Amino acid sequence: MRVKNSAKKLALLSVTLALSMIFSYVETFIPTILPGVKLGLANALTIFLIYSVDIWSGVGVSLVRIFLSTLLFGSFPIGLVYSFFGWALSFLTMLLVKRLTPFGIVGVSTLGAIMHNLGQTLAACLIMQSAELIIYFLPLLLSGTIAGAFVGALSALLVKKLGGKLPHKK
Amino acid sequence: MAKEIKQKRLIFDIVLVFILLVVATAALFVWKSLGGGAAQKTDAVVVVREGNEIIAELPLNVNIEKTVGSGATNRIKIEDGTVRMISSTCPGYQDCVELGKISLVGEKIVCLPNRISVSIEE
Repeated sequence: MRVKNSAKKLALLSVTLALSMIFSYVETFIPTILPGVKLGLANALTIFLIYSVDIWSGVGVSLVRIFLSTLLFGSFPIGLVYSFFGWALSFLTMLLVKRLTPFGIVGVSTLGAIMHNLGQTLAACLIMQSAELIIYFLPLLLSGTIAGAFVGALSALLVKKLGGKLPHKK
Repeated sequence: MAKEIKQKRLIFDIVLVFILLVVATAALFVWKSLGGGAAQKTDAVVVVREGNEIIAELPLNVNIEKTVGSGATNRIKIEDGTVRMISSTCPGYQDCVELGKISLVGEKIVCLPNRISVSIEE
């Protein structure tokens, strides 16, 4: 990050954070068939940051986002454990897939979404002290794939349309 | 050149998503066969757990309303062979209340914040 443009970058990250918070909030209104089934729109912005800005912006904005949205719209202390497990597994997967595999944004997003679900299911197993809860990962695999592919397509569009026009790069 | 790589990635992605969809659909059927869609049994038992500990066992065919849990509590209602969480002290989304009724053996309502689960068992 060049110091000269740090204000522009800060502004960009703030706007991205605000938008991802709105996405998280809007999703709380969508009724779910099964807990854990969700679109994960906010992840489109994380992917956008990873691809168009840098990894650390993605880490920072998504971490602050899960903290704030759990605090504001979620069940605060315990919800953060779920969010964090999902986030950690998903983010790590996305980085590895982006670096090491020939997959594009849709692949990164889809695998990230699936690992998010796996992370949250594992967190549930730990907190509930019941290994059999892992079975909930099976139906989530389908919803995660569909949601991840959709969010991936959205992210690809964001990167394509906005990626080259970011103010901090000028 | 860059366009070629992009196109290749897109093909990889499409293949990946397709394979995942097939696997996930299979997983859904496995889940259903493991209890997600088991037949309704009238003599089934509603088992309430807090963490790993069973705190209540109630027959599914007797209508009752009961508050369960120590500290953080959930109110469950058994009515005409169905169970639902009618209220919960947990903050936030309240997935357990939103989930609605369950009636089949193997189905489960889980309130993660309160560590309370309600499942229908044989």
